[in-house]
Amino acid sequence: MPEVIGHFEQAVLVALVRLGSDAYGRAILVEVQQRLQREVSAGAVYATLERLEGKSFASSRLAPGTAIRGGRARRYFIPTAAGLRALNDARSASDSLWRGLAWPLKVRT
Amino acid sequence: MIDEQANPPRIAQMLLRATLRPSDAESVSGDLLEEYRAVRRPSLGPLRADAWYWRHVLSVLGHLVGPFALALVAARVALAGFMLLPRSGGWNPSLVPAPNVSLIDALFFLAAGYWGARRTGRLATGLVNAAALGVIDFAAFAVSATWLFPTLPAAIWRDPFILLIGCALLALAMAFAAAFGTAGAAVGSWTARGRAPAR
Repeated sequence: MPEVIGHFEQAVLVALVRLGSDAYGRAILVEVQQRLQREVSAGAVYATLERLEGKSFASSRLAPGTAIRGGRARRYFIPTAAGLRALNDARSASDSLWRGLAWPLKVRT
Repeated sequence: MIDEQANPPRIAQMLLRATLRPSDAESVSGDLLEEYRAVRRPSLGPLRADAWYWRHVLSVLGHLVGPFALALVAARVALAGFMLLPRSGGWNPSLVPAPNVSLIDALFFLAAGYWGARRTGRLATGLVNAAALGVIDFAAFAVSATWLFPTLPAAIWRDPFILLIGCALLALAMAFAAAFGTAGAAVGSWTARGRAPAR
């Protein structure tokens, strides 16, 4: 049975897919905030990235930093094949859940 | 205007670096510094940008200490329930009659110190973890004391001696957290030596 990924893990993994080769910590944080349309804490994003690496859903490499970051290295993340499979499974599960329903749902007051 | 020389509060930077694994210290602190210099400082000004930086450093720390704080609260609630049982007599021995210096607290400070130091291989991480847990623990005590004695905040305002007692209790609780956190961190950093780094 495939490993289930949480909503926030999906948001971070999708951000990695969207950002491609530019997916480093700060860019991921900004992307997730824009997509979820809310303020997201750095702690939540870094903890999720660590968890995704622990599950082998993402991998990372260090690259040289720029002057504005005081020369500190950037860590770039990419989704692994297992991560992409997990995202596909999550999307399929969500689509299956919604199939046959007209969206948006009508709210009866 | 972007100021490439602007720096966030030094204590916050030290706290962040002490909290992170050596493999993450450069990249994570660099990410926050870049956002601080490129976006937050120019748009928010120095004070609010510093507040933004503090908030994110505390969020990183919170994700490490949060599980311990939740478990400690759960243990306290379970213990409170146990003490309601007939003839249980209560059980959570304290060395001195003061809050947050009981056996349960000692175990949690030991665990927080151990886990933090084991994660990074550094004594400082364990100490920071235990100290943060100590602050949360004391804050929980202050909230529960205010809930039990609603006149307490007003009494502190009226009588500075009560504030002095509160400060002494906080100092005692923090010294207790630091002592047991350091002990746990010493074991954690020692056991981390034989372990391969996570990355």
